[in-house]
Amino acid sequence: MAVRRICMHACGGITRVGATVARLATYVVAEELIPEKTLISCAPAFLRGVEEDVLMVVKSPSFALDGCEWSCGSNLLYLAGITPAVRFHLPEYAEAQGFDLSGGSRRFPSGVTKEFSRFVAERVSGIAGGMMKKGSPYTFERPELLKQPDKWFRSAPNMEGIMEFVQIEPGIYRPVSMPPLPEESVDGGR
Amino acid sequence: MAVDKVTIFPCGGIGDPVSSVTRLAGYILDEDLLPGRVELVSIPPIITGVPEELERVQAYPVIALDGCGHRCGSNALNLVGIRPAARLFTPRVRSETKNAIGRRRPFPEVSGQRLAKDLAERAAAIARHMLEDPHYEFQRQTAAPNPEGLHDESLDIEETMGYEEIESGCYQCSGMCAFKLEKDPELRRRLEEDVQEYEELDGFER
Repeated sequence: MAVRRICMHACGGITRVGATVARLATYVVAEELIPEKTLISCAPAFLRGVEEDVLMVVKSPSFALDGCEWSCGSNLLYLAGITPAVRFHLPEYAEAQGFDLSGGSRRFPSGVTKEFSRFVAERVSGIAGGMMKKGSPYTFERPELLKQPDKWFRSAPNMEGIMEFVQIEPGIYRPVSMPPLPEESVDGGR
Repeated sequence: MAVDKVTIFPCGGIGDPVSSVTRLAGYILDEDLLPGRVELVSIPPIITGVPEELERVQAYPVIALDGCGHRCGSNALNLVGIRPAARLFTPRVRSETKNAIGRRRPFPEVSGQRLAKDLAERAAAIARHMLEDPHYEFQRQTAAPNPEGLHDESLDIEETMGYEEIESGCYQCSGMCAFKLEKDPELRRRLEEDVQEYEELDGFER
């Protein structure tokens, strides 16, 4: 089916700057860049079973924003049988784009935390725009929600051995099992 | 026997502005009130199994900060078989202090910042009791998957945890050592004088 909305799925961490970037970037996308077409996935509410938070991740392609190598954004979706359409590994993306997160604030939307959040949001918006563009060949198949507690507590850095990815550029990945992004085609989508 | 550290477990939401309030309360505790004495942990890493975060909910008493009526913090702990040593329920604290949550999500408005301080003040008082009272007892817990309540909001988490309200918004979990919540004017003074409040986000620099 064609894509009419995207779902932002920030990692939900609190201890690292990357997690704050994931959170802030989600707000920039949802409140400023594509407000009518962005859903915000709340990981705790998803686990709780809040209906809208469960439905949004099965009805729209998810952008997982992982704030560190533990990749809780991607992994939590995976544990529920859902594969993100795109995964951002924010520390790697920051380094590739020349942002030094080492001095960033995890508490305040300021400085490099704020600047990089907007940068990420604009990149997300570009990819999402290609997915939702009229006539876009990108399609999305609804996954089936699974309960797999037997797979909990098995985190691996960067989803190694759990999920395979195609690198779109340093820090941005598409799971191999998901459709190619519009910008992967010849004329690009950026 | 007091404990070495206390783990703070904010609700970890993102869609509701109250999640930014509980998150800020966590940072106030970790950076301003009890640096080095508390550890912050969020929900996803304890499900996926990030080793250091999973260790923190097992090794230390956990104070859960539930932000809204969904009670996701408590639910997440239940999903991994961990019982909180104390739970703060933000809607109840808010009804007592009258500080509104606000509508802004990237960083709370001043009223939301004050509510975060209210939460932090209560959590700090409870944590200090756990850290300093030689009679406070805590036994290490072992996390284990407990899918009861996974994607199922019909689970009554209040009943499951056996919460009993000790003071407005502050709950004791059944089976856990009793805690004390004694108001400390010094904590309030530090919150009012040392933790700055910010009116605007535009040009926000810190």
